[in-house]
Amino acid sequence: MTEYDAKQAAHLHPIIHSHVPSEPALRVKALETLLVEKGMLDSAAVDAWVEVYSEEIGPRTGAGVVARAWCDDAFRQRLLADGASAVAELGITGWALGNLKVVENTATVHNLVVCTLCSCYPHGLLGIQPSWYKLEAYRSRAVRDPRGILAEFHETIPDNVRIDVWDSTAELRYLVLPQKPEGSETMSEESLAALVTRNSMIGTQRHLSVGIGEVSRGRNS
Amino acid sequence: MQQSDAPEQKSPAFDEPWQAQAYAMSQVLLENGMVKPEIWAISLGKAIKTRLESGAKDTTETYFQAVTDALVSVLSLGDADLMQTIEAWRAAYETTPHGKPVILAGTTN
Repeated sequence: MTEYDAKQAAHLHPIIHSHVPSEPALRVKALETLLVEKGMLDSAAVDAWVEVYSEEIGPRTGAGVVARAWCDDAFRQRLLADGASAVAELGITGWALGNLKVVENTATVHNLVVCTLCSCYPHGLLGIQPSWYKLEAYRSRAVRDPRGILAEFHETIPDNVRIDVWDSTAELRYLVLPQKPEGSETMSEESLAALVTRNSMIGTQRHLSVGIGEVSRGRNS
Repeated sequence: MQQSDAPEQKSPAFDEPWQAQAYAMSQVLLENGMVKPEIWAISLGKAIKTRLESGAKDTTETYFQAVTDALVSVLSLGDADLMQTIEAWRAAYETTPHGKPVILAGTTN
């Protein structure tokens, strides 16, 4: 029979109830402390970044740009010619959007965006990149086997549709302009924006349809 | 890549708060000009590769650990300073009673 050992219990209690963060969390905390001490970083700016990008921006900003392009052909043409200037017209700016290239899906072309080196992404338009975008599995296969990757996202691209893969860099970010879904002809710009998903602007989703939208419901992860 | 990761709604950007904090630090340092974008991309790419080549799994956690590796590397932070600060934080957590704010002596965060 197991006996109660007061000494052992006293020893174990603080261990069981330890609130010491995990090793990676401690490392990040220490890193932040050092950077603040060196005057390189303001903790408030870090907290604000997390709040703004994970909770406020999400992919809704990008969805609004796509909807505007669907409704205003002159804007669409400016967007394709010079993405950064066109989104700046809508008041969207940011260091990561200084060089933005918008690539348009058509009946014969599908575009897919990746960052083979790390995870470069147009945060100002799409919020924070999804976890799969950062994984080696996506980063390497998107170039080597784009149809295979798209199949994993339940997208079958017909053989007569060419797939263009765009490799983001620190200097150049991409946004896919998806095709306007069938049946949306009479919808308002706001309603159209609600149909646009984050994945469709990365290119891992080709087919949008009325009723699919994720963005308007705040799914930005 | 796991197929279950593919659908949009099943792919959160961060699994744990420290990952958001690490990534935010990198982005703030890029925005405030302390780190050059082209140097950051190279450093992060190298850090990811190093982690994967040393046997780490291709996961979100590995990616964000590489982000912290790249920050240490690109900002030329000394390992000794970092280890000392990690241990100071560990001691602060271990000695702070539950329910009280954990404060590192001599700092405000």
